[in-house]
This record gives sequence, structure tokens and C-alpha cells, in this order.
Amino acid sequence: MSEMSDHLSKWVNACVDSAKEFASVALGIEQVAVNGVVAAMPSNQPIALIALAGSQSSVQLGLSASPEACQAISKMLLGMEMDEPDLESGEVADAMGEAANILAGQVKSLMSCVDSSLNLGIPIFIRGQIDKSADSEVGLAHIHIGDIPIGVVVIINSER
Amino acid sequence: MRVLIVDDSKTMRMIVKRTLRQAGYDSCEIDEAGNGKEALDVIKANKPDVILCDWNMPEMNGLELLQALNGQGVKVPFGFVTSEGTPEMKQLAADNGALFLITKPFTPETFQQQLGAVLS
Repeated sequence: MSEMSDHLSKWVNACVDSAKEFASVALGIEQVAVNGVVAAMPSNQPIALIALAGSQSSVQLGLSASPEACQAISKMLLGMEMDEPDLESGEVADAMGEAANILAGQVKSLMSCVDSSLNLGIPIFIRGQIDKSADSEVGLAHIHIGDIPIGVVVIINSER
Repeated sequence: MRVLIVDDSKTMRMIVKRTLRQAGYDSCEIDEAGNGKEALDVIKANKPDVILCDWNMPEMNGLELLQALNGQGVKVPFGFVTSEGTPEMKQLAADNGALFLITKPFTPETFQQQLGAVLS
């Protein structure tokens, strides 16, 4: 994470820790591997985004994954078997949004020492490429939840 | 026993239902609402024995729902099931009369502990 500020690194670490907790409790998967952290936006993949805003912070957290990985995560969250029929796109959007919501709640707790005024927004699910603004910082942790590759994204928005 | 689940996420409502079953509450009747405003209508039609409510929802959030119920003198055991579990939110929930705040992600054991204490 040498390209990232210490501040961004704290957020990314909190997200990765929260993703591990999410995987363990919500999905029943203990094995979470971190395969690298980069200062880049995820490539053109669906992403569930949620905002955390406070008096000192304006951050977007995201879970980015392939359509197949989004299906897998959604099914696991709903307690379904992988060989059950695929969920409708709206159901995947809802499930991935909820996954981002759970992640963000944990991050909020972990980062309350940095900013105790953080509030969560309502998650959204986007299919398409997202670009950051020129003066935002971004950190992307490539992780595997079991054998499912997921990108955990932190976008820190600059003050306006 | 009648349970009202209030959450804007259909996924989370399904997860709560599943967890209730896993916690041993498989014989309860379950009503659902997508936000606090809908919940008020559901409560008026069928008063639940316990309300499990998300915090952050559009139209009317969980805290606003609880405050509305307090204002109307509707006395139903109320608990939050939310992704945000900071000490400040737990205190705010308790100050407004919530009996518990369960943080997501949760386990059936957590439901047993919290609901068992309330319903006994």
C-alpha cells in the first residue's frame, strides 16, 4: 500500500477486517485471503456502493465483483445452494447492497476513533465503470472470500 | 407469536426470517414492512408481539418509527437489527425504549439470547 496515504490505508484495513467478519458470520466462510492492495478503481464490474459521511470524513465503500461472484455472494447471504436457479438482477442488487451495508456498519465502528460522527447512507448497486474525481483517493483490496474474488473499495472524497 | 420485521432490504428480511427459524422461532407468524411508514400501517392492522427493525431506511427510519409508536402510546417490545452498533446508537436506542440492538451480521444464538430475554 506504498502509494496510499496513511489515512486511506487505515480505511482499507478497516474494510478488509470487516470483510473477514462479514464472510465469517454472514456467509460462514472463514478463509479470506488478501491478494494485493492497489490505488486504483475496480475494472468494469458491478459494484455495491455505500456512503459514510461525517464532520471529518466523506467516504464511499464498495464491494466490486463479477456478475458470477455477485450471484454467489447473494446466494450465500440468502442461505441458498449454489446449484439453485440464479437470482433475478434486482435480487442480486438488493443482496449486494445489503452486503455493503453490513460491511459499512462494521467499518463505521472500527473507524469511530478517527471520526465519531460517521453516518451511513443507503446502498446502491451499479453495473458499469465508475470513475473517481481527480482529487479523490481510492484504495482497492483484492480479496478472496473462499474461492470468490471480490474487490473491497474505499474512495475518500476531498473536501469541497 | 407475531413478529414484525421492518427493513428496506428484502434480502435482510429473508435473512431475519431464516435466523428466527434457526433460533427456534419457527412457529411464529411473520409480517413485513419496507420502512417505518409501512410498519405503522401493519401495526395498526395486526399488532405484533415483537418488532425487529432496521435503523437506516428511507421515508421513515427505525428511530423515527420507535418515536412515533411512543408518541401514539403503542406498547410493543421493540428491538433494532442494524448494521450500526456503536455505543452511541445503542444508548440512543435504549433512551427511546428499544429493548435490544442486534448488530449485523448476527447469529441464531444472538437472536436466542436477545429475543428469549424479551419474550420470557
